[in-house]
Amino acid sequence: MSEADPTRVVADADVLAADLLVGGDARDALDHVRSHSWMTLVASDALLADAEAVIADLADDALATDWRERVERERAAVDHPDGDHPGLASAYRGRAAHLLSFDEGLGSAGANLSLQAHMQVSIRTPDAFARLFDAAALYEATHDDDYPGPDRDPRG
Amino acid sequence: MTWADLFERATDSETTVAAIRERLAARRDGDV
Repeated sequence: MSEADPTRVVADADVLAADLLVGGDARDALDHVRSHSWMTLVASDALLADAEAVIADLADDALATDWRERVERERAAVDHPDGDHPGLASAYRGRAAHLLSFDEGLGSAGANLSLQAHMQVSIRTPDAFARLFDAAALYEATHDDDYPGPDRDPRG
Repeated sequence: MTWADLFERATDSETTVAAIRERLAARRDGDV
């Protein structure tokens, strides 16, 4: 397994749904990803299906469908076996260094231990990710030039 | 459809992170 890539991020389904329906910390965290073309949101179909179902249940089907269409345009798709935790498995299969979740117990015992033994992912709540994300440092660690600032409209 | 459009449409949902977590847990536990 190759090393996790610090520019690849997975948001578990709770964070994806909260980004749309609540805003706040989830939106602040994902705005960092949306604002930079060199950041990649990684998600399996199962992960998007979980978020889509939650959005349909708490809002409406049309919004859930349009959200799914929009997020599919920019996510990097990964596959994993049925039954794997979609957030953890997307991070592992997608070589993501960051997994955002409101479930602070996700990284602890009981949450898919066989997978976690191989993972280099940092599991953080959205507010922790938003606070600690340093775009300039990350850009300069992964590119040869200076950080040019955000290069994408996070509302586009 | 832009993110701005989606966020605007979602403003009426008045849901919470707790409700989202509860609904997701039920789905993943196979309760729904």
